[in-house]
Amino acid sequence: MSSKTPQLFTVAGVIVVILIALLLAGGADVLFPVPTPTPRASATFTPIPTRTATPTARPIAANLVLLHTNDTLGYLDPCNV
Amino acid sequence: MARRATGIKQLRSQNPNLLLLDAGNALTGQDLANQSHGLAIVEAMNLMGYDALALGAAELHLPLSELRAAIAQARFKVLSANVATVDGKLLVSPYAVLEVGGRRVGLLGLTGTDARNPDLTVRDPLAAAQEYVPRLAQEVDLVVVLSNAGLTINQQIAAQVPGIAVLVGGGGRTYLQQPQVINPTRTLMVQAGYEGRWLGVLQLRLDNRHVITEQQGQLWLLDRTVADDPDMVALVNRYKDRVGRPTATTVPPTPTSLPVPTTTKPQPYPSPSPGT
Repeated sequence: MSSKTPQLFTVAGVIVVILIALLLAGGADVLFPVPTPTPRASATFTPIPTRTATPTARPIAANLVLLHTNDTLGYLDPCNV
Repeated sequence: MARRATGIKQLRSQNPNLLLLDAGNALTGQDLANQSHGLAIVEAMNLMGYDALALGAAELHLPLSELRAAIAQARFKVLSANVATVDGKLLVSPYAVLEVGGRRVGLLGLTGTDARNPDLTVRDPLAAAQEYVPRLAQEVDLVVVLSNAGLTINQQIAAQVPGIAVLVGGGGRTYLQQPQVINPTRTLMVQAGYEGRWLGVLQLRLDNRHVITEQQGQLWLLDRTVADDPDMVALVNRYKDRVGRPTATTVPPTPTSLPVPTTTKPQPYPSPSPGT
């Protein structure tokens, strides 16, 4: 064995101690972090169309306008949006 | 409703050549509407100046005597070409002709077959459209169909029945973000969602032959940015005082078998060809 062998053992020992300390402190995730999953787009469809602040944002030279509703289902109160 | 009234007033002030239409399923579904036997909604629609309503499941949910009473109070046309009494006669007019901006616009009402009433029968809406649209088209410059038969059947009607310029759809928790062009008829189809959350706005440019040369359709989300119309708030409060505060939200009579929420991507409106 060379004269440096004891020093290597000492360095290796320190590293092992640090690893054990980290494992005890934070669990395996500290050493082997699990990648954070990328959030997936919700499978639930949200039926909210793009907000239209003004209904005539891109007006055309209309000579007939149809305003239309459907399935209002008896809602009288100020809108539930 | 109060926000809808505000939006309608605003748009009326911008264009006098305007029709206000409802494809159906309006009169019942919530406590105040149910407890007033649909009259609260009829009065609200009178106040907003509706021109026409197609009978749907929420209308046929009323007993026949109450439905007749509600219709009698309406200052707008109540239409259906496929709802008949037991003796085979249509309950209401199948269509109406209104003059707007010098054009004769024919409005045809179609009811979805999900509508149930023990004293009424509902015929296939496609067959009714095939019978009445050609007849109506001879009388008017433009045919507009109000149909709560649901998105799929409405698309079939629009595709298979020539002569419909616009189909205002309903039936189910569905909306079309922008007008859908149905081929081969090139009928424009619109649908403005449910529960009064949106107001559909379809602007049309027609040429001298009453052919649509340009169109733009939007859904106006009636959220908190839209002020309540004070006249409508007063009407609602009157009904609340008259029939009492609602205790719980009732289940709307619309069946659960209707399409799930759907959107369609916008499609360009094709240039009209001569003779159409």
